[in-house]
Amino acid sequence: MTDHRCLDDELLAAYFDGLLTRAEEEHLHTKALGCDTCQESLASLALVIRETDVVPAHFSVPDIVTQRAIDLLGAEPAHGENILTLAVRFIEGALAPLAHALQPLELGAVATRDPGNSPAAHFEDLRFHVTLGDLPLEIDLEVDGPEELALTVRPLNPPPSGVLLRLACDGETRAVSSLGMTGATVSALPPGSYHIHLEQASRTVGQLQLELHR
Amino acid sequence: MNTPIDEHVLLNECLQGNRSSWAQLVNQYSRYVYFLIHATAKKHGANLQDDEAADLHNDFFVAIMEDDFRRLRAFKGHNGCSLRSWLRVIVIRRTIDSLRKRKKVFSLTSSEDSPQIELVDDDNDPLHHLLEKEQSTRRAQLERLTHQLSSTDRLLLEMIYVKKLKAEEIAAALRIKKGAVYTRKTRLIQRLKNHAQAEGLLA
Repeated sequence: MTDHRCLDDELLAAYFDGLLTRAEEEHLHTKALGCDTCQESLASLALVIRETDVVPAHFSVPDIVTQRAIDLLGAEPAHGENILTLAVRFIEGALAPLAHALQPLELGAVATRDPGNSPAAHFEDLRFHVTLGDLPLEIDLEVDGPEELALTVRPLNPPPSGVLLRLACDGETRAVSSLGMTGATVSALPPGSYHIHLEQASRTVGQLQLELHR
Repeated sequence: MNTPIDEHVLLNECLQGNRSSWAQLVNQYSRYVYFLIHATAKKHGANLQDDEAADLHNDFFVAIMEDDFRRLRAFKGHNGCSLRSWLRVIVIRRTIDSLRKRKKVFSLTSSEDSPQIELVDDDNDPLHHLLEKEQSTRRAQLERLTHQLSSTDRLLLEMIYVKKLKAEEIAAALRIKKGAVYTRKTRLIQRLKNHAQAEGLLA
């Protein structure tokens, strides 16, 4: 992919569709004037766009090519397979909101995803953001099998030194790790009740509880 | 064939990870994307095999959906731009980038049936030599001559004299008729000549 992007894709699309005002077109030409790469891009795009508004009737795309693109998002999991529900309880020092169809929460509330027809009712891969203390974190949950998942906790900003991450499952400590920029991953975890505890110098920074069940 | 649904509705559902909406989006645009890839390669003189086109097709859809649909989320529909038009620009740009990396593109020349009429006259007109000078030397002198011209007119002259693009290419890039390229060029040259003579830049 070209690194140089003076001319935004959307702006170019609007330009070639004749949707810009005269002033906006002048502005685009001014930008191209100052940049050889943009001028070449303008010319080379223009030649193709002019002749590709309509696909010829005889032209076809192989089914396998289309299916490959569809499959990029992965197939729907079979009912009862690799499906987990998630409930998140924020305890001390934890802040919402969460992304990916989980509802924003007030401190201390419990969120359970709607087990109905919502696309987020089940997942194989889930990512959400949460802030524990002052530290924004990215949490990845990947379902590797009916009874196995991997949990990754990754700081979004450089964490202060000496921050420890404790992961417990059903009351039992599964992992203790110092938290660096690359984060920490624990795999082969069974469904259960997980407690993520962040501490620094024996002081609790924040806690989060994840209920992951079939 | 499915009737295309409103593209903004489809887009929003895709961004929420709706698999059936993603499948519908792919089905709606797959043929067009594949066509654009082949058309771009042909237009740039590249011989693209089917498996290469298939790879480019897949790479495109990966690019717009990876990292939680980051690229697709960036689409805002400003200026009334349609999703189809936006995707078209991305596909063509990515194809050109890929072809350049494979060194299969040798020029920006048009197809063979375009007239090869040169826009730059091969004569001893001193203004033409001024316009063709090295960029650093030309810049200051041209700035004085052209500062009253619109950006479009300046871009037209740059495409003619520096990029040496053909009239058809310039017309497409500036969204004007090919005949207008010639008439504008003539009018601009005369205007510049008058200025250049007044400034004493021409012998």
